Amino acid sequence: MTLLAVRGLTKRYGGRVACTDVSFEVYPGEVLGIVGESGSGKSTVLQCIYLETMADNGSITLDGEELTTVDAMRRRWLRSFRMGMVHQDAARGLDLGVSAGGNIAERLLAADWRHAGRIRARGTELLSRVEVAADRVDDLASAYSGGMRQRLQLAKAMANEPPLLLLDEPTSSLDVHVQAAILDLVKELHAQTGVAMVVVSHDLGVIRLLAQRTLVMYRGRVVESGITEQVLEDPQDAYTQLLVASSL
Amino acid sequence: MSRLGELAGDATGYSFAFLDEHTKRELRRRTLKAVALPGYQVAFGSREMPLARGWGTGGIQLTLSLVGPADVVKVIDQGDDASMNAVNIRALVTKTTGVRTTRDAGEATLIQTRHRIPDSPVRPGAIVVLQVPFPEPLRLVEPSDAVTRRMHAERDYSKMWLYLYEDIVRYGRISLSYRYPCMVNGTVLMDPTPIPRHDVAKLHQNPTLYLFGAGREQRVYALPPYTDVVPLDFEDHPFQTERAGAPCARCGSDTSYRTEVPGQGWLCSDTAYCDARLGVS
Ligand SMILES: Nc1ncnc2c1ncn2[C@@H]1O[C@H](COP(=O)(O)OP(=O)(O)OP(=O)(O)O)[C@@H](O)[C@H]1O
Ligand SMILES: [Mg+2]
Repeated sequence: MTLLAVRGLTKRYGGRVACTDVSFEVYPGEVLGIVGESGSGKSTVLQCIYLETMADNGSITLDGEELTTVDAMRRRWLRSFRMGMVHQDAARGLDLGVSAGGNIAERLLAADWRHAGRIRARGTELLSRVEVAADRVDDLASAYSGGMRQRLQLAKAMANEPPLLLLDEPTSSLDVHVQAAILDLVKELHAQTGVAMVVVSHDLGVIRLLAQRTLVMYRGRVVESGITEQVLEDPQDAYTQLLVASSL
Repeated sequence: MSRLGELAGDATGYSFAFLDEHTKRELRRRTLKAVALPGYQVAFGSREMPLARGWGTGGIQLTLSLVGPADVVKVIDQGDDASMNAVNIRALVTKTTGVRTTRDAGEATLIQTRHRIPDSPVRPGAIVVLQVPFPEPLRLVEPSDAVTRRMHAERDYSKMWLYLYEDIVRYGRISLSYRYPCMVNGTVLMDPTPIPRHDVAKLHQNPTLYLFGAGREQRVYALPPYTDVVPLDFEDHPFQTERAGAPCARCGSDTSYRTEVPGQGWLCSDTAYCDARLGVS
């Protein structure tokens, strides 16, 4: 059974094509990588799935439900229960003026949790799963370091245990040591929960480590797709060949 | 009498209840819409009133649009019929209508109030008009009107809930005392105005029609009789009314809303209620 199916997805900004005729599937528990140079449309694809921006054309279904036509209330529900997102820029995914626990609470409140003590306990539990100390739960998110903010975004995204996580460059704003730790964490969370993921990165190392299958995007189009190892070992498309060669 | 005094004393040319008939009819139409949509803020074209904005211009316009020659009107401010604001509003009503006024909540057919609901029972069928400084309950968490309208339309009150959660994290309890946000009929979030929580608790399933008028923000909203009004709270931090330190030092009431007055102890804030218990008027 397909979890997520994207068909002919196209999005323009004015005259500029951000992505065009993008199609792919994600199966339950699978990790799909999307790689490509800056401006190739990777974030746009994730934003269309997360319903942060409306696709111009094409269809997106999650568990068979068409997402491109849902109303605002349903969209909010989908974002709380059916998918979670880790933004490239943590300030977009978090409310920095609110405590870490509060950021997670937002999702739990949307799920009608009405017991403050239990909300805080669940926030603490989720933070420990992303390896943030329990005594930081009441700290403002603005007091968190870059790596901690990405961890907090992950905890928030997983609060209601959605079957799909969308990760947009989860580590590119971090220094190398922190990057490795976050990638380990993502890998471990996947192993523990079996949540399906779409991971966007311009870094082939990230894709190699996390993704079972990979799409390569170039100028808004998918130019190559397949098992990650095959795509990286034996690229068919000229652009992919260049990308792989330059990352060696 | 000075020439100016003569001119000011000349009430000819003014309509009954100051506002012209067309304006009153329009206000009543807006009010009917508000009654049909409990808790929903309906826009109206606020008129210039011979009162400063922020002194009850929204409430007074509703009162004037509803008052008829047979009405008996009560005006209170912070529970007191004798406060300057109440006296001025009452003077405007009587001067432009000639209707009878009273301090007795059980006798009045129309009550205009700010910051309190009378502690004495209101007469069946009477209307209570509340003055509203800030009609938008979401203003606390969202500055933009366009966004708060969308939040109401989508019943998206998660920011308000989050505010209360953060309050508990920071202070160990919900620190909001006035303008306590309430869900109306389980659908719309409403600002009950700066009445104490003691009065907020009285709104749920109340037999009286409550109207809320905001002059500066040009909004009217309503609670028709027997509407569900439920303050937002958490299971482990339930909504609680204020607790006075002692019974009223004057009349001995231990059920009224009381405030501590330096040198006098705890006293009923509703002076008419307190006087009635002592048999003075
Ligand atoms: N909100 C927007 N308004 C206008 N143009 C946009 C907007 N978002 C994206 N674009 C354009 O669409 C194209 C694709 O952008 P997108 O952000 O999807 O690329 P990306 O692959 O995520 O790049 P990066 O690796 O730098 O994050 C770019 O040309 C970009 O300028
Ligand atoms: Mg991007």
